[in-house]
Amino acid sequence: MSKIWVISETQSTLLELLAHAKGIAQGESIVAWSFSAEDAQAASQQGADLVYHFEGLKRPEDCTEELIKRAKAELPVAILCGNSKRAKEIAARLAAAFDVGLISEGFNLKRNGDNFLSDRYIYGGLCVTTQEVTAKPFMAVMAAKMAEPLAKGTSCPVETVSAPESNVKFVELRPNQAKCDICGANVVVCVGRGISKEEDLELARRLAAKLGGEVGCTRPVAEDLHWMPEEAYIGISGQTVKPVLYIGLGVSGQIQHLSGIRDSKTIIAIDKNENAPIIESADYALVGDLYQIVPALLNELGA
Amino acid sequence: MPFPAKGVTERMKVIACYKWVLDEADLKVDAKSRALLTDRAKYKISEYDRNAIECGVQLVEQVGGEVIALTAGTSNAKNSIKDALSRGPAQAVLVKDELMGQADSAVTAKVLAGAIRKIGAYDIIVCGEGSSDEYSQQVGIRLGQLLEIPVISFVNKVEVKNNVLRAERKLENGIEVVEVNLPAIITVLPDINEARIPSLKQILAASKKPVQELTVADCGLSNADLEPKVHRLSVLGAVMERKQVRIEGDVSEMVQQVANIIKKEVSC
Amino acid sequence: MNFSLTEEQRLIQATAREFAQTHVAPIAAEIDRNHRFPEELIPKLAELNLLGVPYPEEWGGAGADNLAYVLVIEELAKVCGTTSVIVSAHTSLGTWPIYKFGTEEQKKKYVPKLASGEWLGAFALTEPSAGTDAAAGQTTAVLDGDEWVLNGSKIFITNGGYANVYIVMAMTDPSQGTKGISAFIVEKDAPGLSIGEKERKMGIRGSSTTPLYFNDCRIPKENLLGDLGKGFKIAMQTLDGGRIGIAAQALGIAQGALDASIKFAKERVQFGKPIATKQAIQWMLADMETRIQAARLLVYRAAWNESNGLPYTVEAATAKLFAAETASYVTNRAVQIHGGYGYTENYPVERAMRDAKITEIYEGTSEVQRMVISGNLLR
Repeated sequence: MSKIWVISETQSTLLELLAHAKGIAQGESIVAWSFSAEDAQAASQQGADLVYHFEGLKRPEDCTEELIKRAKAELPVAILCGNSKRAKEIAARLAAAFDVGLISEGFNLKRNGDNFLSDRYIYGGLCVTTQEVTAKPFMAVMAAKMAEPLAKGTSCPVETVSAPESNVKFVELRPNQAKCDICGANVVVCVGRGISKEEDLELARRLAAKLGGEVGCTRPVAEDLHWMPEEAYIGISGQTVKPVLYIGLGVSGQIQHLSGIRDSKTIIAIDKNENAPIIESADYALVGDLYQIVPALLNELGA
Repeated sequence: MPFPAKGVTERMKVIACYKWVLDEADLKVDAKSRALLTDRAKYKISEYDRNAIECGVQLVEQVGGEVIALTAGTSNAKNSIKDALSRGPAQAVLVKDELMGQADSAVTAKVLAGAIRKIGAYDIIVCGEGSSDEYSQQVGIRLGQLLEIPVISFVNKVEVKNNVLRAERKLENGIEVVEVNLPAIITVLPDINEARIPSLKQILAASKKPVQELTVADCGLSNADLEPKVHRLSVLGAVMERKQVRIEGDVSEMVQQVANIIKKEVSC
Repeated sequence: MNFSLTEEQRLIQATAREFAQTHVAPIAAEIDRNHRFPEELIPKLAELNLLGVPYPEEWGGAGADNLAYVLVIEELAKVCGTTSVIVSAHTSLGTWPIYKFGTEEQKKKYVPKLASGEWLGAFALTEPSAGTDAAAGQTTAVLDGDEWVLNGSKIFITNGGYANVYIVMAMTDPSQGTKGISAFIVEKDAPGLSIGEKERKMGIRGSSTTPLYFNDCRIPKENLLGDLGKGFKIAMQTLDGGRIGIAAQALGIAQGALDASIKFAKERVQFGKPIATKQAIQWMLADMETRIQAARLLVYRAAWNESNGLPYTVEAATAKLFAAETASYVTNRAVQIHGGYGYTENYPVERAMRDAKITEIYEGTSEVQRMVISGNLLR
């Protein structure tokens, strides 16, 4: 029977991939590749027909040679991978081994019999391109948070798998001290260059606290001004956020930043420049002085 | 021109790959048709590749050796050579074929692999983690798989000692430290270094450095190998479909309206 | 006619542009506001070989041509009038006389240090009573055994107080008029030389402009530059090349102001639309652009003549005259386009306008340039 494979070392992504796979399956069985017992368990209940779980690996990437061997034996119709850096490495090596294309950060996945179509952003988020692949296996790294995990059902079989030693020696993993607060936040208040002093970030913090959200920033605020840590900046080379509510304070809305917020449900922008790109890209725009508007808003919200 | 064989063990041969891309800062999108307008766009060495070249140059400055700058492109890519050489490499190799104009990552990796096999022995290949135009983040990794050498991707720190390369990878949840025996390939993040501005002497010395042009046939490939695996059907300006409601009035009027909108979205 | 830049020239221009954006732009407003000489830029400029652009590599320079030099000055000036004149005065006025007129010993002693940027150079011709009337200088130089003894003063010396070497014009024979003036190389720690207070100026405020005082200032006999009595000629020839540098500075100041105006016009909304949609603004921009393009051709052409061994005195004069007046015109229009905002320190155009004015004055006023041009026509 034909198969669709999904591969991710993080659980939330694995479940999203299973949902994507369900969306394009035309009779194929769905095989999940996981890297921990918990992930395997979750996958087995939320969309997979068979789950493999790699055991005894020092790092997920060490599975690659084994994965290539099995993929060549089983010839899945499609292989969908998560968008973590680890998964991107596994995916690119798999694609090279098969000499097939690999769509990176794809969305709007569609299937037309043997052909697959996917969109992705290029030129720093300026353009969207629709791409078609005909060769098998179809391979894609899927953009994150574009699918809801499937409902829990009965478990499917789970098998453990091992892999030979890799040619890369794992030395250590130094976990991040800082957490990414904005990553899963429901509400994101984002500060941009329109904020004149570091102390004024307090306005954003108060607003975020009142709304049960987190504070993020645009790249210059983190990289140039160092007013916030790297993990807080939203943009094409930073975090992508998908909150219910995004409020930009003094954010001009350069394309690289907009790419990071484009899937927000509601975008509110407060900026003094009427011609700032964010004004066109917002649901609600207030053109004015944020130093007057935000304190008044905090007052109105009873913060 | 015959390439020098791999030298004495201390001296390293580093191949730094780069791509000649449209400068995305020059690109515009037609507001009505959403068509991409490239008429004013100039080309440049992709930002991430500047970091890759700088990484290679810093490595050979530390342990001795030389950097070979390698690119595959159309005849347009000839304009990149002096730029690349002004950044420190000792020589450049260009694989030139008009079919590179529609190459995807699979094709580019194959062509570069063919060129590297022709170049001969090397110690390290350095690539940017992605290109500033497509940002598919895969050519360097594919290259490692095709050449059957260890791959370390998303590196922001690297050092080499006694034929062992130690790298730090910046991942989502932390820094992973790994080691590999050479030869190996690394793809580098932009924060690995600050690419130095070429000095005028370096710019003027560039034209004296050796450049080799290869055809895809030289790299052991045919036109069929240059057929892309991913077909681009369309390119359009990205749009954000948003309500675009302008909230008007004086401060208190604006605040009242927006507070109501906020309250509808979140409980607070 | 080939109006294109060579690949090397474009790469050199790109280096200068990146340097200007990375290292100069962040401090340009501050050094102007504080009248501060940007010492920290000197080693960075030297590292990229930007302090000896037109001098051969064997003399410590970059080995590039005069057009490349003009491109560098222009890129620096787009962002900072001060930085561009520091480099221009050092390169054209401080280094060139020794390179061109020095003995082998003098060249070997001074040019590598200057062209590499290890040392900064300056040029001292102007005196309180001798500006345009340069020959009316009263600083004297008298030979006393093994030394020349200088007495007098100079005024408005660019890079004063930071230069290691000053090219000083002094009178060696008052009875000979212009033929009684000689040139000297004066090192900064020559006994009897003192540097006066920096002028507080309308523009290019980070550039150090000082008087020099010579009180029985003693320098070695060997420091006579060129032949006795040839000082005035050396000064005039030096200023020809210097004029091209200042013309490039003016061009850059104008271009920077135009770029800022285009950006502002697209963003500033009045009556519901960006002001860039109004014909009045469009025509202002068109006029600014036209003059800048004309100035550019004059400046590049003068540099090209110099590089190719062709006479360039008149070309340098026309370039400087036109570019300087263009800079004043363009920066004035730029402030106008910016409206009230352009009058504040928050936008760079008020500084550009203050910087532009001096280009009509130093290294030969526009009146002097007109004398040179008409003098050539009516020979």
